[in-house]
Amino acid sequence: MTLITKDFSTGYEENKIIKSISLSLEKSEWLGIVGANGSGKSTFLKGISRILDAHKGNAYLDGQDIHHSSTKEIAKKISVLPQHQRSNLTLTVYELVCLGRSPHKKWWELDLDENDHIQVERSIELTDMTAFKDKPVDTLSGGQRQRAFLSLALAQDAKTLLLDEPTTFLDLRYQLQFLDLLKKINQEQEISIVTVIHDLNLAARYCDRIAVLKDGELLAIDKPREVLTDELMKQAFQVETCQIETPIGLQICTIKSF
Amino acid sequence: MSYQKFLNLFREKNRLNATVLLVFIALVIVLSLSNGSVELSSHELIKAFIREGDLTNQIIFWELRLPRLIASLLVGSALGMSGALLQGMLRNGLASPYLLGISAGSGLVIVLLISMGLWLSWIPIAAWIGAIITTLIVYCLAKSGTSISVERLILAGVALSSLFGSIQSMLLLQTEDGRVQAALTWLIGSLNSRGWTEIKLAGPPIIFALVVGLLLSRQLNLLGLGDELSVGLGNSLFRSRCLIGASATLLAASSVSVGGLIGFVGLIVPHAVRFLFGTDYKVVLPFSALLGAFTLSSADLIARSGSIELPVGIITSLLGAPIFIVLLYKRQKSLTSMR
Repeated sequence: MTLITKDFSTGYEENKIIKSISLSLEKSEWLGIVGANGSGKSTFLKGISRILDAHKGNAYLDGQDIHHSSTKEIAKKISVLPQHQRSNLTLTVYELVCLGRSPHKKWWELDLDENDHIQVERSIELTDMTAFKDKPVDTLSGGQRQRAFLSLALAQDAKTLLLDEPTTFLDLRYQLQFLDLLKKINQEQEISIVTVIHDLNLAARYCDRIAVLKDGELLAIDKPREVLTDELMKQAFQVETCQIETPIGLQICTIKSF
Repeated sequence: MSYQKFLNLFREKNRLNATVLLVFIALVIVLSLSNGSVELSSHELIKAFIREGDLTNQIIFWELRLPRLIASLLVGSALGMSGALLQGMLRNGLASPYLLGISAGSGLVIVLLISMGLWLSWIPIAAWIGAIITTLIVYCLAKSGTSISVERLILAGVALSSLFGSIQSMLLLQTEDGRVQAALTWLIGSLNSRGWTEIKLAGPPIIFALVVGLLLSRQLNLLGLGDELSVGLGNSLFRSRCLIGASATLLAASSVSVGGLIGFVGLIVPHAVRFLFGTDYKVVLPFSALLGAFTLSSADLIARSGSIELPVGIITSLLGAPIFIVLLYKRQKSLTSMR
C-alpha cells in the first residue's frame, strides 16, 4: 500500500492552507509530520484522508485517486483517528468497534456477519482491550479510550492509518504505551502509519521518516537524524536546538526561542 | 461475559422494555376506544368491532374513535422518530421535527388558505406540500458545494421560520375571528374529527419513512462520533444528511397534515428514550416511535376526557414541559452521582 501526493494543495473552502506538497509513504512505513502551530499538519492529514477536498494536485493510494473515489472505498484502505474523539453515545467498546466495519457494509445492512465479528474481536485483542470490551466507552480512562478508538480504526481492516496528535491528551506513561502499541501494529500487521506529532523526541524515537511543514509547505522529509537538525528546527520552529545522542537514540534539546 | 451473551442480555432487556411499552399502548388503545361522551363496555366494543349490535355504537367505533386512535398512533410515532432522527443528525438536543422550517412552511399555507377561505378541504395536502417545500429551501440554503453544514441548516431553518412566522401573524391579524380560531386549531395541533381520509393520505408516507428511518441507525451512530471520524469510517456526510433529513421531513410533514403542529412530542420523546433505554440509535429510533405513539394517544385520550375537548397540542405542551424538567433534573442527578 503506497500513498503518494503530487503537487497536492488543500484547505478550507477558498482558504488554501497546504501548498503543493509532494511526498510518498511506503508500505509498512511510519511517517511523522511535525511543524509549528498553524503550519498545516492537521489540514494535510484531513486532505489525504478525504475529509477536505483537493484544491490542486492529487493524492493517490496504490494509484487510485483518493479524491475521485467513494468515501466508502477509501475507508476500506485508510483509517483515520482524529485528534478529538468525541462520542455522545453510551456505546460499549465492542459496539464502538463494530462501527469500524461500516465501510464493508451497505447503508441498510444493520447486522454484522461472522467475519465482521472475527475482525472486531481481533482488533480488540490487538489493542489489549479484551478486558474492557463490555464497558461503556465513556467510563474508560484517557489511555483506554484512545486504545478503544484505535481498535475502531483497526476494525476497518485498512492498511494505512492516519493519526492526528494521538498522544496529546495522554500522560507520559500512556504516551509511550500507546506509541509502543502503534509500533507493534506497524511492524506485525504491516500497516503504514502517518502521525501528526508535536513531540520531536517521540517523533525521532518512533518514526521511520519525518516530514517538516512550514506555512503549508514541505520544508524537508527524511530520516529523523537528517531532518531534526539545528538549522531546520530554527527554520521550522524559530527555536535554537541541539541534538543529543542517548541510549534510546537521537533526542532534541530546546535551548531558546528567537 | 462473551459478546454474544452481552448482546443476548441487551436484546432481552430491550425486548422486555418493548413488551412493557406495547402493553401500555394496548391499554391506551382499549381506553381510547371505550371512553368518550358515549361509554362503550367491552361487550359493546367487541360487538361494534365485528359490526354487530347498536348502529350508533358501530359508527362511534368505526368512524370516530378508531380513525382518531390510528391517527394519534401514526402521528405520535412519526413525531417521535422524526425528532430522534433530527437530534441525532444535528447533534443537538434542542432539535425538534419542526426545526427545518416545517412548522413555518405548513403554518403559513394553513393560515393563508383559512384566511382566504379557499380550498379548506385541501388543507392537509397543502400543509404537507408547504412543509416539504420549506425544508427543501432550508436544505438549498445550507448546501455549500457538495457538503451540508449542520450550523447552516439550523440557522436557515430559524431564519425562514422567523420570516414565515411574521407573514403568518400578519395574515392572522387581518383574518376575521371565526377563521382565526380554525387556523389556531391547526397551529396548536388537534386530532378532533380526523378520519380515514387523513389516514389514507398520511399513513403510507409515514409507514415508509418509519421503515427507512429504522435503517438509518448506524449512520446516526457514525454521525455521533463527529464529522471527521464519521467520514473516516466511510460515511458520506452529504448522503446521510440528505437521507436522514428527508425521512424526518416526510414523517413530520405527514404528521402535520393529519394533526397540525403538535408540539413537544418530537422534542421530548427522544430525550426520554435516551434517558430510559440508552443512546445507541439502534434502540433510540424504534423506541422513539413506540413512545411517541404511546405519548400522543395518551395525550389525546386526556384531551377528550374533560367536559370540554381541548386540542391535543395543548395537552402535549402542558404535560410535556414538566415531564421534560423532571427528566432533566433526574439526568443531572445521575450524572452528578457518576462523577
